[in-house]
Amino acid sequence: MIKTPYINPFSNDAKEIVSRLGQVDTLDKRNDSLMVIVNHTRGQNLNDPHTLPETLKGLALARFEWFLFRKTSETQEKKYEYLFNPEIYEYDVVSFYLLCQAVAIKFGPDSHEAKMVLDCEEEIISQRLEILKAEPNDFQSSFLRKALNQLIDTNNIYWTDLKEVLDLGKLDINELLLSNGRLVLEYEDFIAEYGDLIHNRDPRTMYEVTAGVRIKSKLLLGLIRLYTKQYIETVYEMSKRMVEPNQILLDLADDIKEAQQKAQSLKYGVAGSSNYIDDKPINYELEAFPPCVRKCMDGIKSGGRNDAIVLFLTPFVSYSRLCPGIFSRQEQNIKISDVDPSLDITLNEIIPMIYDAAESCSPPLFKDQPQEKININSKLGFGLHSELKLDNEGETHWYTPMSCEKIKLHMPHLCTPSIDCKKIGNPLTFYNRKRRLMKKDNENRQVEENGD
Amino acid sequence: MEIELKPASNYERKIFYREEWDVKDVPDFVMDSLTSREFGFDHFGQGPNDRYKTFQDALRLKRFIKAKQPFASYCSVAYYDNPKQRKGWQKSELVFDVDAKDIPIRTCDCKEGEVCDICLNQAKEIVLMIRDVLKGEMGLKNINMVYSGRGYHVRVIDDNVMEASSELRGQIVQYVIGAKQPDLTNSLGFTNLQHFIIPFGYSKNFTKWSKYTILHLTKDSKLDNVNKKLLNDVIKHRDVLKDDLWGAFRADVGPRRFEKVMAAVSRINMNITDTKVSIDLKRILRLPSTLHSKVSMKSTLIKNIETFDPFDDAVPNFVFERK
Ligand code: SF4
Ligand SMILES: [Zn+2]
Repeated sequence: MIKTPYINPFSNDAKEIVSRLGQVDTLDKRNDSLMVIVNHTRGQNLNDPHTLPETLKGLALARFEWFLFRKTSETQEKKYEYLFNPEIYEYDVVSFYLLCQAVAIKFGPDSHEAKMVLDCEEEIISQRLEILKAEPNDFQSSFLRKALNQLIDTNNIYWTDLKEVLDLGKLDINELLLSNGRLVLEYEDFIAEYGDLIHNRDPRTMYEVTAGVRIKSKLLLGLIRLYTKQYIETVYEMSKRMVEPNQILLDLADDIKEAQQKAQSLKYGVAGSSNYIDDKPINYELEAFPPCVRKCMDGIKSGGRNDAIVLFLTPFVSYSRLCPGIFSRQEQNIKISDVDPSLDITLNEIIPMIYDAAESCSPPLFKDQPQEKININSKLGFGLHSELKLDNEGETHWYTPMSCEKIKLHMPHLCTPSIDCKKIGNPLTFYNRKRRLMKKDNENRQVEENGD
Repeated sequence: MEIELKPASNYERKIFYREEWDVKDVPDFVMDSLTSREFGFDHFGQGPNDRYKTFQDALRLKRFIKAKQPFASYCSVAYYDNPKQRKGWQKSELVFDVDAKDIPIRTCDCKEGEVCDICLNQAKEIVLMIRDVLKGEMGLKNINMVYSGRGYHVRVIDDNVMEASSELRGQIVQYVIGAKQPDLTNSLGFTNLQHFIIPFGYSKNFTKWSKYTILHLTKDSKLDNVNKKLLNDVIKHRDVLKDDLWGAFRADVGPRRFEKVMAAVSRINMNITDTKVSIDLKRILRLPSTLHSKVSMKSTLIKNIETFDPFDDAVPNFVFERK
């Protein structure tokens, strides 16, 4: 029998468990009944007994490690099989709260670590819900109903009550069935609302396809993420008034940091190399940027900041790095992920360069116009979202750099042509031509130097 | 009567503000929150660079406007603790801006930047559809429609949505104008589920907007990834959509090409309103009751949108006196 706290750490019974089992002094004591559950989990890899958690603190760290390393190999995964044994639910809940407290106290609610704990919890619960899918649909549906109703009323909830969940960007408003602002979430409400509209099709199937278990799961995950975030914020606020943070929590925080550093060095161990074909990413050659781009990168001091950064700089900086040859390609309709599949370059080089320029404007662009971050994402092809995510790619179009003519028309102050501007019609063409010239120059110089 | 949309002269502007404009025509939804709003003015037709203005009461607003006779007047969609410095943001109206000159599927012969009764009427059809979604599915209250001078603003003053972030507003806009293809992948093994089969929810909304867009395409429309031949085929076969025969339309165009068309259509839908305006929490919008000097029209709060006609209800008196 699966208990709700296994899926929802914010259910009432979960809170009861925490007050029963969460005594501070037991957290780093060897916990025999935990070890029994771990050792008796089906499919559990028992080859490295010393890596198995013996305490609640150890279990908290194990949750985090699973999240960091789960993708590294098959055996790694089986190492944490006990996390997906429903019997662990009581200890699991306590260790979840431990994890939240540790990052809240040591790193604060806005830290990268806190965000990772949110992601980690979401992943664990998703995985558990995935396993739940082996059960009959009826069971899943009523189980989710029970879990959700600990947090909201699934027969009477308005989308405007879920603004904070929607804000997390994991659940989109267009996935919700809405009638007069109210969510249609349960089957009986679905039939009452839309039953008359459905002909020649099985209503239950229509329900499952458009709402059903899928949306209930997403909503539950969203609510849990929100509650976790709020919990971390609360703990952080309280900790500011605390004299001496608990040593167990501080130790756990150190362990978390260490695990995370290990994961990072695994990830970035192999350095990438770049080659010089022009419809593939090439490294920036800043000396070859045209005058208008340089001017914009120094920040816009007078009016017209928005258009300069969003409409002008964003396309240039992205295409010049990822696909400078765009205009000589047959197919001009490309997506960023076609050339930067992991978005590593986009997130680590392009966005920072745009943000730097925005920051250099006076006043700094995002200070009074934070929504321009969304507009930038949208011009890169990722829809109207504050977070740049692969899921949203294609909702908008990746804007190509505008022509000199357009620039002169709409942002005349940017264009202060140099001699190299004579032969070109687009700043990107300027860049490509200039790079070629610079390379030639370089070779000539080398020939001269060597020729002597 | 044929009305020409030409700029107002300085003299006409003066006459308008002296004789016609009345502070009582400023909508209640602005007056009720007057002291929380930022005002902005364009005195010389070069953009609203006189900003950070505030007014304590109707009298002061009236005096200022009567005295300055501004080229254009705006007020913030945002409410602030301290509007003079745009600090202490409390909430913002949810707005949709449909500018007739920017509708991507105009069927008239207007050149860039121009508007006429045909595209203005299209703008009206669009805001009506927007209002229906806001009211029906979203369940929002206090939805105000304003004629802006060259199009329409939908301004929602409902506390349930006024604290929404830019991100959430982005989602709302995409929903309301059908700007995203519905994700119909599912775990139940339905591989060929089409949005037009689903008579409710977002799919229904997307289908409705897409129908509107496809029926308004012209042979000069620009669709991403859709070549001339495909565009012509769409136009050739689209009439069945008037009877909602989507299955037939899809079969005529061909399923793979249909997919291409729908992807492009969703992007066109996205441009039906200016999304930048909707997600900007600190925008200023033209103040209803004031003059749009570039076209000599009054920005007007609309009492009954069904019967509203800008050429009857938003033309300042001086236009009729022109020779
Ligand atoms: S001519 Fe073109 S490339 Fe040169 S500065 Fe002007 S806009 Fe930039
Ligand atoms: Zn027109």
